[in-house]
Amino acid sequence: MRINKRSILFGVLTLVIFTVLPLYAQNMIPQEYLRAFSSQGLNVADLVNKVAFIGLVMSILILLKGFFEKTSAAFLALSIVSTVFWLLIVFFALGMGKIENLGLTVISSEAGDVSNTVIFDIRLFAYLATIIVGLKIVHSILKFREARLKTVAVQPTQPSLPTDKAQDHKPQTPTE
Amino acid sequence: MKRIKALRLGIIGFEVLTIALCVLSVYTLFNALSTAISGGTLNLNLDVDESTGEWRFVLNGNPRNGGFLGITLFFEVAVLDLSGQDIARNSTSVYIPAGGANQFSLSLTIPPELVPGGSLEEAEGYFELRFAVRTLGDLVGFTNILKIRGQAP
Repeated sequence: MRINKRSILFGVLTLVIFTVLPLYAQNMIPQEYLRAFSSQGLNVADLVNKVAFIGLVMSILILLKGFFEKTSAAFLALSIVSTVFWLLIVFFALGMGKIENLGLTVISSEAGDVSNTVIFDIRLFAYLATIIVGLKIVHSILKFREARLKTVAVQPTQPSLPTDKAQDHKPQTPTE
Repeated sequence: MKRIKALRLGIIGFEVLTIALCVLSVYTLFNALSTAISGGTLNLNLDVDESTGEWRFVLNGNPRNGGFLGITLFFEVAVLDLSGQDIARNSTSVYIPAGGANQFSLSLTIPPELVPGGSLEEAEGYFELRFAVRTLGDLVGFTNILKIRGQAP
């Protein structure tokens, strides 16, 4: 089993950017801002925890991919999983922290006799992202198949070793 | 080999196009929100016709679109009773091309029998204002629904 240094580097970078920094930055946001966001129905702590979790999973996937050869089925499976995971991240961003919204975000607030509802409809980009991820998976499969074919073509054909029986039946060259 | 490369290039092109469309439409939406509905572009009037006793709500506007894509603005005003049934409702929509402006007018008449004592402040029910901006062939949008409850003192 090999260890890809690039994967380790990208894995650590992803962990720092998506997990360590948001968790650290969360403590630096003034409490009054957190309360203001909370009153508008936006839970910052929950959002940061979700981003940190996404970062953790992404870095694990990047690290795992570095352990496998591009021709292995495990590499293909991890490529597909990480591509699907990217789609979830896109849904997370488009849904403003809620994956299940799929790009349709509804924020409601009420104060006394006044209620206000804001609806963001960016589902089009969720659909386009799904198509892109589908195409990326097809691309990964085609690339995997090509890499496998290349490996088979490059490997020299092993000559079959003669067995003892075969040697016994081998016609003897006439001796003078 | 060529097929895989072509697919890869196609995916990259599709990604770039999607990101560009996303940035352009989000910019256009926020630009519309900051310019189209502010800076005195909207004029709201509420008058009573003394002869008939009807209340007339009029919304006039000349919104401008400073974004890169054309937008469709939609306005709807409604008066509802406490059970949520419509008393009066009217809506209009206007298309504004990129960098352009367009006028619109929306009026709503409330019959006098639905305003007890002739004063809207004393009327019980809801006033609803719906405002929407859509862009990219109406595929991307933002909607704001403001609902105010009126209560008899």
